[in-house]
Amino acid sequence: MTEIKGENYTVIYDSNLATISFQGSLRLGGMSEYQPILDLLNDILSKNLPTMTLDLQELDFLNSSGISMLSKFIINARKHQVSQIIIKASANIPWQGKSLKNLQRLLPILQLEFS
Amino acid sequence: MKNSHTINQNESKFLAQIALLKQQVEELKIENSDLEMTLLTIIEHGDAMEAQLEEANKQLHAEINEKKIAEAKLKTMIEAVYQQKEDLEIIIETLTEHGDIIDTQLLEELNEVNNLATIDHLTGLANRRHFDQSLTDEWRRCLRENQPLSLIMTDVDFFKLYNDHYGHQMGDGCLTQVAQAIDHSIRRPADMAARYGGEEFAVILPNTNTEGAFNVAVKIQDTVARLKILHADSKVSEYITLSLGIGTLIPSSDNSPIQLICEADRLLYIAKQKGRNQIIY
Repeated sequence: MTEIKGENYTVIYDSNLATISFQGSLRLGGMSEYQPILDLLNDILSKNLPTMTLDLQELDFLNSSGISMLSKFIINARKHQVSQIIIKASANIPWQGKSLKNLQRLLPILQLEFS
Repeated sequence: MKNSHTINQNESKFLAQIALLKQQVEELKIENSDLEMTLLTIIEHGDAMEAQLEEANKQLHAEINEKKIAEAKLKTMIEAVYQQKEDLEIIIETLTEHGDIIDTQLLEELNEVNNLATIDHLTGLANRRHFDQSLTDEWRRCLRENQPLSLIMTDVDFFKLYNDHYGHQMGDGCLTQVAQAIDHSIRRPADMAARYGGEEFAVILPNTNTEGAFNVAVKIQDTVARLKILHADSKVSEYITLSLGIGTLIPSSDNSPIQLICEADRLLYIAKQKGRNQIIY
């Protein structure tokens, strides 16, 4: 288990499930503050796991730098020719519907699961 | 002699012919040699040209290959740049749409917070804070327009006894019904009903004189009476009743919203002193 924790958010990586869970509100200031999270994601990517899951169901808020960080990660995943990436999202959180579908345009094999 | 002379002449001619032929042979030899030289030169030149052409051809092929490799590299680069361009376009679109959605989400949250900050949770009427702000705003507006401003202060009669008799849960239900009755009794958009505190409610009536305010107060009383909320311990009725005080003033530099509240409160107090279930103005 690896954990990055801030005032209003938690990012936890569960290696047994190959799942990174995001919770709370991510309002970090700029890409530099998102770098530790992006590094964690890219580290997991470099392990070449058969499946990697991002659980965003409890991520209520993500600012623009945050979605930019996710976009960069998805482009990196495409370069790595990753076999499967699943994003678990919540239909009750307004931003997730549209923004995450756009990420699918960057990586068509990206699997979006809305609860 | 003549024969001998003829022979000599023929011999001379013959010798001359031989000499001529010899000369011709020599000339032909030279010509032949020249031709051989020319042919050799042409062959060598041809060989040299062929070698030169082959070399040029090789160079050309090498150049073509180089160009093909460069072209392929360029194509790969263009494809990569194009991919990056597409990615950037998607990212920009994502960021823009994300910004818009977040903006809406924040606005909704803000509205919710504003509602929580201005609405009384139990009754759904404006809370005391919202009432204070609205009264100040309406007081200023009526001051500018030189219009009367009325305020109804009202109290549920013997509410403490109601609570003691029926319990707090019923008490809350009673307050909610009374609040709705008050809210349904006002019509104009600028009129505002608020929970002032406990079982006390207030109604702000801009551009309304005492007579208009009295009509609203009567309507409130009637609406509450029609609810027929049983009140076994009331000393004035078997149902829930209200006492109401109406204050009216034309805002000026000599008065203030506090004065209006004090006046309506004072008249409410008199209504209670006089036996409750009545309107004093």
